[in-house]
Parts: sequence; structure tokens; C-alpha cells
Amino acid sequence: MKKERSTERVNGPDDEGRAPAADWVERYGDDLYRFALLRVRNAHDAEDLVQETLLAGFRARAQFAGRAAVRSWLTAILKRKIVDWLREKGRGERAGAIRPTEDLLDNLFDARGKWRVKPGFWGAPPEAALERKEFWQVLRRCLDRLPARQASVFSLREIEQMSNQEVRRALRVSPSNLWVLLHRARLGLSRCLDLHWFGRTKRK
Amino acid sequence: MTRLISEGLDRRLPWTLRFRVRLHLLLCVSCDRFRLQVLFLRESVRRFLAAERNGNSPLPSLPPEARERIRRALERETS
Repeated sequence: MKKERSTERVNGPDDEGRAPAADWVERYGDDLYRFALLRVRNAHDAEDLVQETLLAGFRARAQFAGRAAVRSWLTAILKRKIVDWLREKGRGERAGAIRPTEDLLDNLFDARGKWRVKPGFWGAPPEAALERKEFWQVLRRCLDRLPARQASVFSLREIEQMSNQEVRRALRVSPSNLWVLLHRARLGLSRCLDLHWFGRTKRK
Repeated sequence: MTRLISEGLDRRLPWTLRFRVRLHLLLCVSCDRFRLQVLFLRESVRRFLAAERNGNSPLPSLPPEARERIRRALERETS
């Protein structure tokens, strides 16, 4: 944001390569980090991915030679790394594995499948609430509480906006499994936001 | 039923199932709320992505320690 906008483009063969390494972190670090943060949901991995991206970009800077905006070129590198990360996380866990995080869904329905905890009414997404940093922090934490496979499916589908088929290919899941995972992810996220975001704001 | 509701947001269900879902939503307020919540999430993420494209991401910036660490890693690369 601030003044970096004007330096977005590499001006030509003179500039690229000669910009000191520290400059790269200053110019692109924040944007890349913000981009990674919601997608990989934990801050530590987001930092690692930013570092890998900047290193990869810095090494390849000679070939790049200012053909386009460095920022979007780096973002493209980061995006590939994020999809790989989500893929790896999403595959690492068995489909049936139940972790303590499943507690979000534990008492949602009774034995006959009736709602025990009724979902709250959220209304339409208000313009202002979306700009609140806290909402995204809560959503990120909620994503992190889901089993990794569910979170990866949700991220690829809703944040990366992949098609059903692309998600299935990336995580190697069957169609019916995809519906189950997306369904559980959405139930878990809804419940989590009900508890940790809407529950809190409703009280005032 | 919530599974069918969720699935209906990702693909077009056969009309028999669509009909069943519609009918059920008339009777089950909680199910309809769940549907609205999922749509809320989807709409929120869309807006987030739009804000991000315009350089207005609402997320925090790179923490100073990480910045320092990455700077050092990059400098090692150049020396």
C-alpha cells in the first residue's frame, strides 16, 4: 500500500538483480504474507512459504528481467507453493481419521439426526464486518481447528475457487468423498463461527 | 439433509433431490439457516479475494522477527 506501489515494476535490466535482498522483504514481504495467511491458516507455515517464495524469486531474478510486475510474478510462485502445501496436508491424513478437532460436530445432531444446537441467524455479510481483521483471524483459527483434509478441501474449493474436479484431482478423493468432506468442513466452520464470532458479537 | 444442501451449492442436483431439499427447507428452519451460513461464508470469501486483489487485504503484516529471519536468508543467498 503506501509508497511501494510506485516501485511495483522492475524498471529494466539495471534494476533487477541490483536491488539488495533486504529490499525484497520490504517491498513484497507483507503482501505475500497476507496472501498466504488465510490460505494455509497457520502463521508459521505462512512465514516459511513467504521465505521460500522470496528465495526462489531472488534466485531466478535474472531470467525474469522485468517483463511484468514482480509482485504478481512472486504471487504466482507463492500460489503454486500454497496449493502444494494444501495438497500435502490434505493427503497426509486418512479419510476416516478422527482428531479431537471433530468435537465441533460432536453434539450437533441427536441420534435421530435432529439439530441439537441450532445454527444462528447471521444475516447478509455486512460490508463493515469483513474489513475487521478479527473476523478473518477467527475464520483462520476455525479452519485450523478442522481436520486437515476438510480444511484443505474447503480452502481449495472456496478460497482457491477450484472446480470440484480440480479439487478431487489435487487431493485424490472420490466424488462422494468430496461431498462428505465439504459438508463436514462447512458444518464445522459454521459451528465454530457461531461460537466464536457471532456468539460474541450478539451479546452486546 | 445438510449434506444435500451443501452438495447443492457445488453441483446441480437431480430435480427429484432438488425438490426434496426445497420441501425440507420449508419445514426445517435450522437447515435453512445452515444454508444461509454457507452462502454467507462463500460471499465473505469472495469479497475478501476482491479486497485482496485491490491491495486491501484485512490481514496483518509480516511480523518483525519473521521479516528479519527472511532478510538474513536472502542475504546469505547473495553473499
